[in-house]
Amino acid sequence: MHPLLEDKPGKKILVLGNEAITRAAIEAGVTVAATYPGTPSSEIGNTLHKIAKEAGMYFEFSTNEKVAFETAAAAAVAGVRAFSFMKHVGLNVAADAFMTLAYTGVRGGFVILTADDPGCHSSQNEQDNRYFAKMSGVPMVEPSSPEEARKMMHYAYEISEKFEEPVLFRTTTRMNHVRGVIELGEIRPPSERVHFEKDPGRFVTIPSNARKRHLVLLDLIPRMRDEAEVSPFNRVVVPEKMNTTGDIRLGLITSGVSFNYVMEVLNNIDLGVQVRVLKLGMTAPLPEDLISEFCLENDLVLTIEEGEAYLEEFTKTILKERNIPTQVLGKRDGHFPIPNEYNPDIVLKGITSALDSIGRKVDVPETEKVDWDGSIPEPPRPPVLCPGCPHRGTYFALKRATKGKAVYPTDIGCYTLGIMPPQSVGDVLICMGSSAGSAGGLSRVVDEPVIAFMGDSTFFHTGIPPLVNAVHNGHDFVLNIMDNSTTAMTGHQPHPGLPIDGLGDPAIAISIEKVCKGLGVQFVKTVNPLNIKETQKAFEEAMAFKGTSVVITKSPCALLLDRNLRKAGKKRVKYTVDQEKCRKCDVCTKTFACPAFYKIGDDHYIDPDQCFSCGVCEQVCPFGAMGPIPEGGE
Amino acid sequence: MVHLNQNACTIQIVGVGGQGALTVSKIIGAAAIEKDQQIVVSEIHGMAQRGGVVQTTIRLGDTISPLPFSSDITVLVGFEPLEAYRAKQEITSETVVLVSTDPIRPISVSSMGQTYPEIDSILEEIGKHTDCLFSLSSKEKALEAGDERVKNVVMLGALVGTETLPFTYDEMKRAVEASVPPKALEANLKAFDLGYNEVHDKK
Repeated sequence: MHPLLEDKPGKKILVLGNEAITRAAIEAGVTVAATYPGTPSSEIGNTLHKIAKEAGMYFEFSTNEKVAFETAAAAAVAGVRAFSFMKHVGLNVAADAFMTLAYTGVRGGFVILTADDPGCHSSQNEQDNRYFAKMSGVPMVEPSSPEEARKMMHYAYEISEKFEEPVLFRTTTRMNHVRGVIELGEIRPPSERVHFEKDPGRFVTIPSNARKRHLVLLDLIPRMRDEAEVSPFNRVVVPEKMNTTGDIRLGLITSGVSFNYVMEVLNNIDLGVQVRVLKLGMTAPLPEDLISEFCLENDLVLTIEEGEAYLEEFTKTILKERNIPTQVLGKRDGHFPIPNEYNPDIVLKGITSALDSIGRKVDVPETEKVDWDGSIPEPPRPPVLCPGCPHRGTYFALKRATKGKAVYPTDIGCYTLGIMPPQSVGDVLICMGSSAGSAGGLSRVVDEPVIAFMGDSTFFHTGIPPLVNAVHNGHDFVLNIMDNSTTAMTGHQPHPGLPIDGLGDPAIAISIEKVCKGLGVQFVKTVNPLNIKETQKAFEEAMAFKGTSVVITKSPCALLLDRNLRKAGKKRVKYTVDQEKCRKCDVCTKTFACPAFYKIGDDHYIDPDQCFSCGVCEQVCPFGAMGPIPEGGE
Repeated sequence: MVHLNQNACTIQIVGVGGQGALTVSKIIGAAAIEKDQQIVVSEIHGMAQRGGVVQTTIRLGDTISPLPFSSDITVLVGFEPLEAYRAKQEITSETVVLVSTDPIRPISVSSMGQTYPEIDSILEEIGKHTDCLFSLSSKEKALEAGDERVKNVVMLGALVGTETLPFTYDEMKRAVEASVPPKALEANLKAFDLGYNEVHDKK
């Protein structure tokens, strides 16, 4: 049995934050869960893909976050517990549904997890989704550790059902990807089928109903605020070891992972003042009384939060309204930064800077700074397309076809790594599915051919509407759909093009080629990108075609292929360089650059440990020096 | 005074995706749970599978913070020598440094003409700044243990051999037994011992 399914309340296990959240969803009796994969939330879906069926939960990888949201929300409207989870930018995709669901509310508990990514570890921006709670009016919770996340999931379902509103569960990368000890709770079984109680006056948001429901929501907000005033997750923490006395009373208001850094500072650095911490777990609606009282009890208050000045602006506004004179300092005063993740050093620097501004110098122990002379080289290690990756073949063939003269809108997936030299393709990237939309606009104004890249999962996510748009409006560009038969970047989740669903059951695989043809694309060609000549020719024909053309380069992800071969116990033929034939022209390293290639002096070699046997190098070498290791050879 | 938090042990593992740092942190986690020792581990996943840099921070003892003060690394474990060197800013004179000497060439070296530094000069440079540096070829030891894939457990054995962790040899060995699949147990235990002996005997 999977450790997250064990019915052993009280047992302690070490798990990833995302696994703690998954376990909590099972404990809470979640009946329907839906997602589109996105780091840092991906492991929740990967885990449910393995265990949802056994847990009796319905789980799906939806085509995109909006569909995932709608799927789960409808289940909650019907009256069962539902869960939808996504990375922060995924909530932008789901925002249309999210904003109006706040008006209708739900009847079964509904939790929406947004995994924010301060520092852009794996994202295109570091937006702060706490503002989605403020904008929509839905309540929000923010955990600081895996065990708190587990407990908070239960609380989120309780308050969701109490107020009949969805709850936003906001995490950040250092919450999702932190491992900590959790204590297993009791498992509540998922719901049986329910009878749908019709209530169109509430759930059909025509203007006359929407106006009424908005009033209902506005009436709810003060009640939810009362909940935040007494929530067990909003509490004052007093340091025990140091910072317990002093002539100045310093209050720190914090939430989420920042709380951990605050405690690291307070338990190890004597600030010379008396400190108390208001740790907020329910952060929308914010508890006005609690915050006001906390500020009244302190001489100086600092708001310590990653991202935007969410707590700070609220606190300053409330104090102004209530004529409370306590000084509040944060980002707006320059003591704490908006961008990037925090850590104990940044928090300590912010606190000392703020205390310094009121004339208090903190005596921080000197730490040793090592003076490195940097005399030895430090070659960078950027992420690259894997050895054997079919995208490398695609880019190589494409560049032969365009001869470097083209504009390349690209999209989100492994293939974005094509921007690295020597491929160096990728000129515009905004968000999921944007390449085809960008290509339409570019094709109307630039003086070179336009070639857009899009992965198979991205195509299903948000790639189809811009393709419809391009065909209908007669945009002249090539859309290269790079079909590696998986959602590779986020950890190989299935998508609608594959014959398997979220529960692991057989499913109808939707043909990308047929979809394109059905949309009216007049030029559609599918090729194997490990065959350079065939792929180059397809690109040349597509570029010559007037109008929207599609080239599908179809070959499975090398990592997945390797895993399957290893499972089947099959060995692969490795490739090598014939030193007698090699003329050291560097075409292989300078134009193809497989990570398995290396040089000793001027001599080229292929590392057999890294070679995935894709066979493209054999087609790349102009002198036939690269090829499979002969049987019994080497 | 070097470390600001004197009551926690912070292990920073640096390496390249696929080197098995995750398994090491899981085994240390198993030891921590068994001993009721407070633990928090932080991982940066990102694009690890695509040959990028991987960083795992394991904190044991009196802390709830997944990230330490930058001066608080107790042990820096380099699963790859260049990555150990790249993490040099995190070394203080009291940081114990443990380096596997088997290089993995980054793309900037294999295809972009840059030079991979000499392993000896990496070790020499790091050795100038810490009083306690251990190096070994985890690949060599793993092959000796019978399976190249147990390189990570060689490094775990070596880490325990530095005696900087709040676990004894026996405690960690039991955690290895509880964490690895039965058919791989023999190679893993041998790897653990080879790593342990290599470092412990040099102390």
